[in-house]
Order: sequence, then C-alpha cells, then structure tokens
Amino acid sequence: MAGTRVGNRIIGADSPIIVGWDNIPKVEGGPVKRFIFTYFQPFFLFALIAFWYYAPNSIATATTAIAIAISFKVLLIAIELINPRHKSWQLTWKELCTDLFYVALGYTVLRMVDVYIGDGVIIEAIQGAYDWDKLNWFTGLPLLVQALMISLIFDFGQYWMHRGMHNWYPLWLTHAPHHYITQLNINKGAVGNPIELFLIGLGIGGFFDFLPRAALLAGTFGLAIGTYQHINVRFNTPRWWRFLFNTTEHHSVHHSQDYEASRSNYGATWIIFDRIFGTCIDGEAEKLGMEGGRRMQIKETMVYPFTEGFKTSRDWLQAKFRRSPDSVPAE
Amino acid sequence: MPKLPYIDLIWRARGSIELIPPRTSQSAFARLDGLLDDGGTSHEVHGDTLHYVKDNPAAQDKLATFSRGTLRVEDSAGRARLHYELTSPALLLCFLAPLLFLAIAQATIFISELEGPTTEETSETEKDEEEEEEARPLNVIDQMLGAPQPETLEEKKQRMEEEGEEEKGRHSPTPAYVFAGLFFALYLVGRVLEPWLVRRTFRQTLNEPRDRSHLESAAQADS
Repeated sequence: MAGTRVGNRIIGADSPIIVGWDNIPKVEGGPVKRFIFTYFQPFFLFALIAFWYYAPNSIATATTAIAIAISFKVLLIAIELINPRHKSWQLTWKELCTDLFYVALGYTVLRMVDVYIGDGVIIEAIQGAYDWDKLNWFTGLPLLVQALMISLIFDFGQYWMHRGMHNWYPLWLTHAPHHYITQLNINKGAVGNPIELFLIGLGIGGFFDFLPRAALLAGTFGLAIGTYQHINVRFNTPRWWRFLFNTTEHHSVHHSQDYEASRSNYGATWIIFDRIFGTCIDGEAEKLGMEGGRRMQIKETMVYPFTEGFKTSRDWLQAKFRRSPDSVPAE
Repeated sequence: MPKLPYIDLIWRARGSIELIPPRTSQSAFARLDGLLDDGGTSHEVHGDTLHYVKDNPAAQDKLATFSRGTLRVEDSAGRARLHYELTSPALLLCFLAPLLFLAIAQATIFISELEGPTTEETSETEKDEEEEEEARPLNVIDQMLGAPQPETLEEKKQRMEEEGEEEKGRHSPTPAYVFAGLFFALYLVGRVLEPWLVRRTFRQTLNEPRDRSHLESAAQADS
C-alpha cells in the first residue's frame, strides 16, 4: 500500500486511510435527512449550553446532568442502530453488552477507587502540603469563559497523557487494550483496562475554583462534542466544528490498523491541541484495531498490562543475561 | 442433586428449520461454509452432524453470540430439516452480570458503613460547611445576559436537605443497582433477539437462492 504523505509521515501504508476532508463521503439521502445530519451536532451543543446557562439553580444540578447524559446517549445509540456510518461497525447485542460492562465498571468500581486515589485526593494533598488555596479568582470570570477553561485545561492534560501512552511503553501497556476495539460506537470510550481509564481521567482542574454552573457547562462540552468521537453515525460536520473539535473521523484514524495513523489525533473533546503540536490528521478509516483486527475479550483486557509487562520484562532479562552466541567457552 | 432440566435454556438455543428445497447434509453444510470459514472457527462433520467452535469471534460474525453449536440434517419422507443446538457463553455471562453488580452494590454499602463518619467527624463537617464562603456574584456579562445568580449557602443547604439521604454515605450503591437491572433487561432482550436472528441467518443462508444471498452480501460489503 502506498499511503499518503502528511508532513514527514506516510499515512495509510499498512491499512487504508482516507486523508483530507474533501475525500470523505457525505451523508446520502433526501433533503430532510441531509438537513438533520448536518445540523444535529451544533443544534444540540447550543441547546444544551443555553439550557445550562439559564436553568434555575434548582434544576441546574448533577442529577439533571446525569439524566440528560443518559437520555442523550440513548438517543445516539438509537441513531447508530437505525443509521450506522459503516455496516462493519453495526452495533450488535453482544457488542452493546460488552461495552456496557466497561461503562458499568466506570460508574461503580472506578468511581469508588477514584475517591481514594483520584486527582481530587492528589490535588488536595498537594494543596495541603504547600498550604495553597484554590485559585478562586476564576469564579469572577464570565461563566462560558470558566467553562471553556475547565474543558481546555482538562483536555490539555488528556492530550499529553494520551500522547504519553503512545510513546512510553509502561503507559502503552495500559492503553493498548483500548486499541483492540474493531469498531466505533458511543460507549467504546469506556472500553479498556481500568488502569488506563483511571489515568486518562486524571486532571488538574481541582487546583482551580469554578462556579458549579460553569462545571456543568464544561460537562456539556464533553457530552455534546466528546461523545461523537466514538459514534458510528455519519454527519456532514461543519467546517468550523471539525477545525476545533475531535470528530469520529479523526478518532477513526487514531484507531486505524495503520501504525503511523494511530499516532495522531490524541485529543478528547478538542482537536486544536493536535493542530498546535503537529499530530492532527484530518481523514477517516474503517478498518480498526490491532493484530489485523483481533477482538480482545474482557478477561484479556483486564490482565493485559500485567501479562504483557511480565513477558516483556522476562524477555528483556533473558536477553540481558543470555550468553552471546559468538562466545566460546574457555578451555 | 435435583435435576434442573430447563436450566440450560439460559444459555442454549434449540430449534429446527425446514430446508426448502430439501437438501442433503453435505449440501446444507456447504451452504453454511460462509459462516464457519473464518480463522478462529473449527468445525467437524460426522455424517449428518456438524459441530463448530468459534474462538473469540469477530464483532460482526453472524454466530458471535453462539460460539459453539451442533447442527444436524434430518431427512425423512422427502422432507429435510436442519436441527440446531447452540451454546452461548455471552448469554450466560449476561445472565450472571446482574449478580456481579448486586455484589458490587453490597460491597459499596459495606465499605460506606465501614468508613461512615463518626459523630466527631460529622460535627467537624458541619463546622466546615459553616465556614464555607458565600459564592461571589456573577460576572457583569452574565448578569446582563440574565443567567441566574449562584445559590446562597442557605439555598444550597435547603437543596441538599431536599435531595436527602444520598449525600450522607461516602459511596452510593445506586449505579450498581441500575446496571444490575440494565443487564437483566439486556439478557431478556438477548434471549429473545439472538435466537431469532440466528434462525433468520440459517434460513436465509440455506433457503434463499444463492444469487440473492450473494447479491445481499456484496451490497453489504460495498456499503
């Protein structure tokens, strides 16, 4: 496969990648369908921002946020089932059950673990050790500025953590299981080894003090933008959106079977950090995964960092202490 | 030990379909080759019976849910039927998943009770709450745009009281209960849907004219 030159890199030499927005297929169908799938994403983003901006305090609560998130995801799953982007990514009953198992772990066990060793605890300890107060002048900024800052600060951290995972072997061991997914669906973001999911959830937002409403608005960016990175639906994504935000097209390139392409598009909600640091590839891929598309089962996902880490350490030690084949025994 | 004759209905699907036109077992199994020719599948044919095992089937494998099975073609009085008995570890695991999440809920309650605040800690928390400062007024831009002012400490306290018990424990078992219920519902859906889908797959593969099924699979590959 020849691949396409993007900067200094050849993309798509191992597995097919479409590079360039102009080469990506558009939504097919009648004018109503094309209208819906062109304006769906911006409509829900602005509608949700307006809701959280103006909702009275009695409604603007975490409980409402959870209810909206669940309803929105159910809607997206329904759209995936009715109108999949690729038939080869069609959501099946077994895939849905598997994905929800990881989602459930995130909401139960991981959430509990987070209380003891999560970023909140780490930041509190640092603040306590240095007698730091929270940076509370942020609460005087306009709400949307606060929300943007929360989202950007968190995403900046995620970008570097994710990039670190692709460049430092111990971190890669935790992230690799997530790259064995062979199709994208909205819950696939939760699929992976729990250690990775814990690490990618670490953020430095706890150093700052924000109004609760700003945090809810920031959560909306994650929901109404970040969720689409794993979706199996084709949208005619507006030019400004795909310039600023991560999309399923970007993320499919990141998950492709092409090694070079998988080392791109590390952002979660925002793609601008990839643009700034030179890792962005605008395009899409359909063939995803590792080892030719081998599906990793739950039990292997849970132990992979340990089993692979053990094998690599053993091989390294054996190579280090093995006698060179050229050496001749002393007579 | 008492016999539980129907317990395997949890993870097994049995059924039969008539082969129209009637086929020999050889011809029927040849038609099923497409479902069994991927790398992770092994199958053996003994006379009119075929056994297959799929090791880690791909997500889009039509038999992904039923990764083991026995198919038998019975020919009598000029009519042929395919009898199938399929085993699904996925259905069994989905059936057991609610138990796991109920156990996690119980563990959550146990840990919360173990770590629940003592009377001293509760009074300290109350003291901390008293020390909490009132929120600053909104930025002038937000005031002009009409965003509601942040709630006062009094309003916050009142809302917390109305929201009730959930705030008291350190961990809430509610998500674990919700997922236990969700997996039970998914099991019920899967127990009905997946045998229906596999029956439809067998019927389409065995009874539809070759050209049509080929055209359909080609169209699927193109889309």
